[in-house]
Amino acid sequence: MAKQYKAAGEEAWKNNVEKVNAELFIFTYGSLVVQLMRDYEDCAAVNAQLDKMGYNIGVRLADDILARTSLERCADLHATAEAVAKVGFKMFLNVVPAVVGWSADSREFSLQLDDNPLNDFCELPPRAVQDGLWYSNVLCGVVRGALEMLHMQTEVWFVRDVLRGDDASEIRVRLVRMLDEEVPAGDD
Amino acid sequence: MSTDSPTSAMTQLLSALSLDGKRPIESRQVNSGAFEFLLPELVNTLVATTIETRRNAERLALALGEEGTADNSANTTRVAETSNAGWLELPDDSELMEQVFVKLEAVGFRVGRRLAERFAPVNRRLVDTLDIVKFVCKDIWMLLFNRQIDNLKTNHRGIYVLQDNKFKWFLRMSGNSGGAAAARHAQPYIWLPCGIIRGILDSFGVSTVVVAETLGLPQCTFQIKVVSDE
Repeated sequence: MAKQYKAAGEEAWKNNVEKVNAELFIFTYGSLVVQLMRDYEDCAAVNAQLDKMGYNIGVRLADDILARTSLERCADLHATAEAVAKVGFKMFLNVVPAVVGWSADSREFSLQLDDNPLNDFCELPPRAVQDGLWYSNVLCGVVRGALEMLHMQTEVWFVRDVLRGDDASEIRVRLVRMLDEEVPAGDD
Repeated sequence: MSTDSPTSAMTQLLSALSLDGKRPIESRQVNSGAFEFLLPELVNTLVATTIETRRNAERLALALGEEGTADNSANTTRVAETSNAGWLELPDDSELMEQVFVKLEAVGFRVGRRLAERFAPVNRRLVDTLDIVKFVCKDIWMLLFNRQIDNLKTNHRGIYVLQDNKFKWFLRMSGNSGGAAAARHAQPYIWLPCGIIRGILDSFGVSTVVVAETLGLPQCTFQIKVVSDE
């Protein structure tokens, strides 16, 4: 099953995606984080804004991915996790996080990012990051938004980040509940 | 980016150092959609934060017993929403939007500075301002939009006009609204590249004011005015 998603993701990246140099995306994101740090001064508020922004992006992204690939509805959270890592991340950022750390009840897992493009030219002083900023928090929102389009309500949060001096970057995903087929009301 | 062997690493390095004069670190690639999805949400976020900071300032003013500015902003302004056509429906509050544009331009400025650092040619010097503007029109536009500026005009006295007839960020939007409505919708998307251009020039020590206008989508014209040191 994971092999299928790997093949689908690589195929999509190779043949179905317009590729550009990453710098515009990376610099613009970094520049936005700098702006938010100035506007808010409080890292928690910045984290929240990045997450919310990511959510809106994730909702649109899911549509785009489903339109471009012939992915079927994922059978369970295991399949969904593989799809997010091997198709979602691959198609957009050309990186594939490892899916690890499954909880005993199979309702939680981690995405371990050994390579995060956003970190490439991170321009924030280490102090800001250590004060509580999750620099790439947008990714949590993206995953949450995309999963909501797949009818799953989740909590997604950063557990570790290399920018903080941790040995790896890790995003944790927890399934709260399955949603009805109705279109969600959206974030506030 | 991992490489399989020393030989392939060397090959990559050599090809990256060849004719085009780019930095010897190969750019990684992402889906062009990554930026295109980010952009409207970035604008949305800046609108939301500007509203919030303004609201907080008003509350603070009231708490301090000063006269609050007019109304209940919670009712009259709303965060930008995205219509189906992909355009943002922006709040009808020109003072608010002006603050947002300033921020967008500032974001662009930082991006421009970093693009200049990253992509300034290593094997040729940019001699004068015209050289730098040409660098923007050809190299930078190519990096960002996969095409060059269509038309560059200058009066050789500090004014440069750059015309892009198919501005990429406008292409994604459906163009059934014309004239003033379209121009208004296009506004946020114009300020970021203005900042980028200004940031690039600033990187080379040239201070400028950069503005843009569209006379009809997807056309976009940028005007650079060099600010001389008095």
